[in-house]
Amino acid sequence: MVWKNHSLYVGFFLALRDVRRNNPWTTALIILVISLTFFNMLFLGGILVGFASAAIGTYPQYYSGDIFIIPAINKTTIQDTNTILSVVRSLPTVKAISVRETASGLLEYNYQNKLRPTDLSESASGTVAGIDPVSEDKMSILSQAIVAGSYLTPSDADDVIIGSNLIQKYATVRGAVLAVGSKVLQTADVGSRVRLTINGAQKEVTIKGVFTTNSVFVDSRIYMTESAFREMTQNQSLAANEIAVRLKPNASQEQAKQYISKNLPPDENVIVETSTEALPSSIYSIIQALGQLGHLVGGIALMVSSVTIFIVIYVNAITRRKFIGILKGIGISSQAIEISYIFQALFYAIAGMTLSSIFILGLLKPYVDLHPFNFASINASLAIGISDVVFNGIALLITSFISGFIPAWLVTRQNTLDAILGR
Amino acid sequence: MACDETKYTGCNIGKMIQVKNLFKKFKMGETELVALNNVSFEIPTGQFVAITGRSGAGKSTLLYNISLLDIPTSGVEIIDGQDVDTLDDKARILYRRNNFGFIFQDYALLPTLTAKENVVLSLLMQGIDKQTAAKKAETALERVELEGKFDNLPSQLSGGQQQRVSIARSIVHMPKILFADEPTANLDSESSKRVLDIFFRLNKDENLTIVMVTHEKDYAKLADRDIELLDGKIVSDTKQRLHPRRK
Repeated sequence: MVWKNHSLYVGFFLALRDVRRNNPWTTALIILVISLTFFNMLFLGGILVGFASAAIGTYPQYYSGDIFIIPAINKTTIQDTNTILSVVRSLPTVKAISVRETASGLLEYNYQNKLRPTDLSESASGTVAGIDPVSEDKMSILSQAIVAGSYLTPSDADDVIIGSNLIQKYATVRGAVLAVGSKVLQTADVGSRVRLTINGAQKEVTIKGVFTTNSVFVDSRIYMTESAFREMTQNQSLAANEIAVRLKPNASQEQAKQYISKNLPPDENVIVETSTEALPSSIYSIIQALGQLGHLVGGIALMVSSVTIFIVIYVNAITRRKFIGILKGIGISSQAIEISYIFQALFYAIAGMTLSSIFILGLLKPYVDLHPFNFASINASLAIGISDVVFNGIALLITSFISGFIPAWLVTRQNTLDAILGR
Repeated sequence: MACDETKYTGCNIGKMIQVKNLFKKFKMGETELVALNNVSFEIPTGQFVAITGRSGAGKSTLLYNISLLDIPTSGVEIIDGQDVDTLDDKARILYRRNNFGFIFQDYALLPTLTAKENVVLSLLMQGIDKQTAAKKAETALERVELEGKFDNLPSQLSGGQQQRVSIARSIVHMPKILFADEPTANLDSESSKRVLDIFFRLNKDENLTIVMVTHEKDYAKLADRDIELLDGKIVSDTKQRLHPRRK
């Protein structure tokens, strides 16, 4: 299709005047409809991706790191932890490493007041992790997740920090949704002395701090120093249960994984995962489902907006069929008329997109960043950036071009006289 | 054929429009309606012709066919020596743009364009630059006595003024033929006379060929010639004396 310059100019001339002199309320309504459809395209996709990002976001941050090394399925510990650590440390892109030993544990508060051993006490159970507080903080900046009390120091022998899902006061404040039947410490708080039981070994410890990471998995954990953990569990082995590795910014997780896997001793029985692979299958499937849903919703919204623009332009063209006939009658080319409708469609699309973008990026996103949507302990914000606006905008402009052209083309190809006489 | 000045056939003068054995048939369900039935005539350059007849006689159909807005079922149409029946849709638009001016009964102005913009439009389409086109449009509007109304939208003009804008639009590009379809039908008598005066001036001063469809005999009498149709056939083709109003 070759458009001559004067067709282009006349098309623009007609479109500009049509838009300027149309009923302003009609123009405003069309722009509002387009802006709502563009909002729909961005918002629904953005909130779904936001939930997915939030679900992923805290997990690699506080738990798996960028590379996560765990025992093979038939093993309980990483047998040759030191060899693996030396391989990991030789990787140039490594920033921090946290080695953890884990076991199931039970916290009990006010257990002294039980009349009989079989009476239920105020208790909560979770995974206990023995850590080097400094290494862990370098890897996960867990200290910044403390919401009450303070973070562990290497010399803390009788202290623990616990996730907010294990303690009622902070779970309630946060509005966390706990699984039915799960137990929490009802009245304990920072400074409370609680009894910790790991594999039958018991010790009275102090709750030094409470952390919240917005990850149900991490917020159900109990952290204590590695030395205190070893002392309690009488574990003399250096074998760890988890090694979480933080890479330098922009380092490739896939390359790091390949490097570690390639340099491990041949008989090493561990699983090396990237942060995405380390996600629990439930979260991974949620993310996948949300991602697919986001694409689906975005696609449907794009179709809806195309159809909307098509209808708007088609109705506009049909109601002006007589004038299109007159234009052709006085010698205006079909191309100029088509171009005028394309310009109008593009104008409506750009105006609607601009309005919607200003609302989303200028008002809604900053508001949701401050007041995120909370769902299943996930605080999700709107995952909408300039690139999303540009990408969706280009998609909408292309569909607007087509949606503007087709109705105009359909009307201009009709017989000129029939159009003038309204036959 | 000998020249018959009363019929304008066979005369050795410049022929602007030649129509031979023109038929136009419409299908109305299962019946066929013959709107033009073997119509033949010639119009010399510079003649002001009125096409008259009762409602349904075929006068508008004839006008639409010779002005290339419609395509005849059969017959020959030669405009200024060119057989226009062979032109495709795009070429017909181009031909109309360059050679014809057209005035519709209901003015047919674009409601979102001012008087001047309505006039300037076809010039822009011809590729004439904006300034020159604007100047020509203003001159055309001045010729139809619409100074001071350049920037008015059609809705801000009376019916007579709108029709004069329509005339300005149709003459701004100096067409060879001006076609007018019931140009006074929606106007009061004063406005109608004003429109006809403009037609006379254009015809006399610029030797513009004008073909006007009208059902008003009084106005038809003012033309050089009256072609009367009945049931799609020419029933009379009369050369008229110069009306005192045109002297």
